[in-house]
Amino acid sequence: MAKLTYDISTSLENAGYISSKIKRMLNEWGIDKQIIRRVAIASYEAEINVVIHSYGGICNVEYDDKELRIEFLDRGPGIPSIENAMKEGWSTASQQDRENGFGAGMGFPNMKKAADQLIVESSPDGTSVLMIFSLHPGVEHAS
Amino acid sequence: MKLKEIVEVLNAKIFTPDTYDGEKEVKYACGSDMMSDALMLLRTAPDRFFEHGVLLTGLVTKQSIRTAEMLDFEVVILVRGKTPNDNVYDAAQESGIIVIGTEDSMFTASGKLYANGVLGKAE
Repeated sequence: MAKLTYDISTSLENAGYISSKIKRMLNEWGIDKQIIRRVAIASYEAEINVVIHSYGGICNVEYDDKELRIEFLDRGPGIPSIENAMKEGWSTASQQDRENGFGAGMGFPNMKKAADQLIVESSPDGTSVLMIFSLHPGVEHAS
Repeated sequence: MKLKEIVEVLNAKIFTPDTYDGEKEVKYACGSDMMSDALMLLRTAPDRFFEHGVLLTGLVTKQSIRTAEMLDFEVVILVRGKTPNDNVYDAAQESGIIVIGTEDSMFTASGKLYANGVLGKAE
């Protein structure tokens, strides 16, 4: 699998930069538009989470001709309850984040529905969000 | 509606004249200030919704442009008299997104578009 790594700062100003790059790359590959949109939405939500909730981190993108794996790794402080974070409407976002259009508590539910597989692990030292997408058009994803 | 008709109906300003295309056909719209809501609602919409859709929002940050970009919307309509700053303008230029703005509220702007046949869902 080919691999790309990007740094993620905690500046909301640049949030979405990595997801935009991934989306453009998939467009160049001629991937099905619905799949690209699912990847872009999930990646953007995960990237925003790292920016507004963590101390910063990295994004690893691995791919071959069948599959795309996007992993967001941050340096903490961790998610208090992954179970709660998966619930629609649950959020620990600040008032400032809400004023920026986030904190609706839809981040993880969106990722879960958009990705073919979502694996989340978290501790106070950091959170790992791995999303796996099949790049084959026509393959139904279980939502 | 053609985009130029929307500009007329909303008495809108065109913030990105370089990419503006008044002949662009608009059939669908989504209005939200919460970007995650827009991303969630539109996750399963068909391609034609985005090809002929616009995003109405009062959120005038780079994130409204990014959200439109992730969803493949080519047009963002800023409501409540919001004006994009240079950073927002640069993001729109980079993504090729047309940004127009109206003094109308979200409710009024949405109502005017709906009354002219723009729908919230692609049947």
